[in-house]
Amino acid sequence: MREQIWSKHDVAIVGVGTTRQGAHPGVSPYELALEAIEAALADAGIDDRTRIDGMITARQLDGSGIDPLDVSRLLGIAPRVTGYLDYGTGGFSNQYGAMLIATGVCDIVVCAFARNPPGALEAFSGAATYDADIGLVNAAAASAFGWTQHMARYGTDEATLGRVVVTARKFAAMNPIAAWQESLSLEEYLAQPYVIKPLRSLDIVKVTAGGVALIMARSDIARDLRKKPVYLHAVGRQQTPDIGEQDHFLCRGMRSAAAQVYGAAGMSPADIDVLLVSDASTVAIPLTLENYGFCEEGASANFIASGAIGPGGALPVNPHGGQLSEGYLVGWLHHAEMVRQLRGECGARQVPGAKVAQYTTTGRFREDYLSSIYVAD
Amino acid sequence: MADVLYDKESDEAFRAYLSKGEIRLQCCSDCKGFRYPPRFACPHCLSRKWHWEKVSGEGVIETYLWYCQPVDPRFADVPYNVAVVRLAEGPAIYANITDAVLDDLKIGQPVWANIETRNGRPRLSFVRENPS
Repeated sequence: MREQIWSKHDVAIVGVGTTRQGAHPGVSPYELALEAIEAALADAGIDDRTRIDGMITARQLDGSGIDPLDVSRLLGIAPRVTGYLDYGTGGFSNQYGAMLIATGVCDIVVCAFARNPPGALEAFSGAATYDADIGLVNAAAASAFGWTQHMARYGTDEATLGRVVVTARKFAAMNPIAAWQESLSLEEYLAQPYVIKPLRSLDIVKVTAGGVALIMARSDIARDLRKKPVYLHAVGRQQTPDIGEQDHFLCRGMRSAAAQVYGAAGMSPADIDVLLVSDASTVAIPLTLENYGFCEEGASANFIASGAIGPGGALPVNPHGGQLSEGYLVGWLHHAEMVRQLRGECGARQVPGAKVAQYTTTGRFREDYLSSIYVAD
Repeated sequence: MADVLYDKESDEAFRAYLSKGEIRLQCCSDCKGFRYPPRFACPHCLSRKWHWEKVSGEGVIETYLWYCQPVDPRFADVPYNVAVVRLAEGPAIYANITDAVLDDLKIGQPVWANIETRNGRPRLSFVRENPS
């Protein structure tokens, strides 16, 4: 196992800020970003914003997102480093921020994402063309391929996906900023027509608008700020080839990310109190549970049906409702929830005694995997 | 597919063979490995030497999906399927199974390559019934 360059208490998240999620007609993503960053600075108790010496943002495949230099100018600051990642979903950008801090390049890094694309609350996210000749379109296709294969190999069914949505809505009902808070029954889910069979509309994230900001700092600085630091213990990350490999859509790259993150943190799935899965579709959750070792291969259907991932369960997953219910800011909102859970700030949806949280994500057309483990002070 | 890998010249050559009724894939002249989609270097040994080699056209469905509602206005003629077909020679390919109706596909099902013309361009699809 390769060793991570930073030790477990070197890098902390010290502040989080979120805006309302949903549709914000006419609001620029920069307004949303500024709102989120101001909230994060206040959360951290950083009054002098010129202390920010790193600004990391992201852009999505559809071009939505924000530019780090423009955001810095808007804030009236000149950080030492500005940078953004194409396809910088939450965890990838955080890893970038953590590396700047761990290597001594920066002391305080703002990681921020905001967008306001057209079609909020209506259009399916993931618009992309993978093969125009044959009509292979939308990123949700990767999930559909994966679940078709899972059902055939393990005898699972679509009710498992329905239970993921039903659970997400139960949590979302306790989250005031969630875009979709209405309760949903499994019967209502199953009555919906297919969109990309075996997926229904409820399985696929919709476009939403919103902003989120996270402030990361070196631990000695973190200890002097307002809130208790949340430490980034470890990150695992793996790229995989395309469909040239067997079982590409069963996301086997997750297993490598799992070995890395658990190895570096000295932990196992049994140590995780709350799991945050970047749920671009429902399929991400059963595949994460299996490939990261929360349950046996093929056993996620029973695990989910047991109620383990829901409120009061043994392993609550996405207690904010996930991006299927709260809003789709490509994994960034999961980090805000993770920090708030580890600080015990989540009110009705708080996972009791949450001290260790794990985030997992899958990127592009199942070619990127990342997982990180965060620990309360 | 990423633009950097897209090789227009090779893609056109692939289609030119299709229009002659031949299915040929790029084959590395050094390690003899097949590859798809076309690209200028062998992903196995990085050799730039390659040739077009006839393939059997036989494959197996590795997984599939059905578009049941249009998610893109360019592809509104639903339902239609897309499958991942693992060719006997090794590469996997995304393709439509054109003789299947909804719920008519199975993982592990053998399929055969079929050359058809759509929008004036030859393209590769697959069928469930052995055409020969």
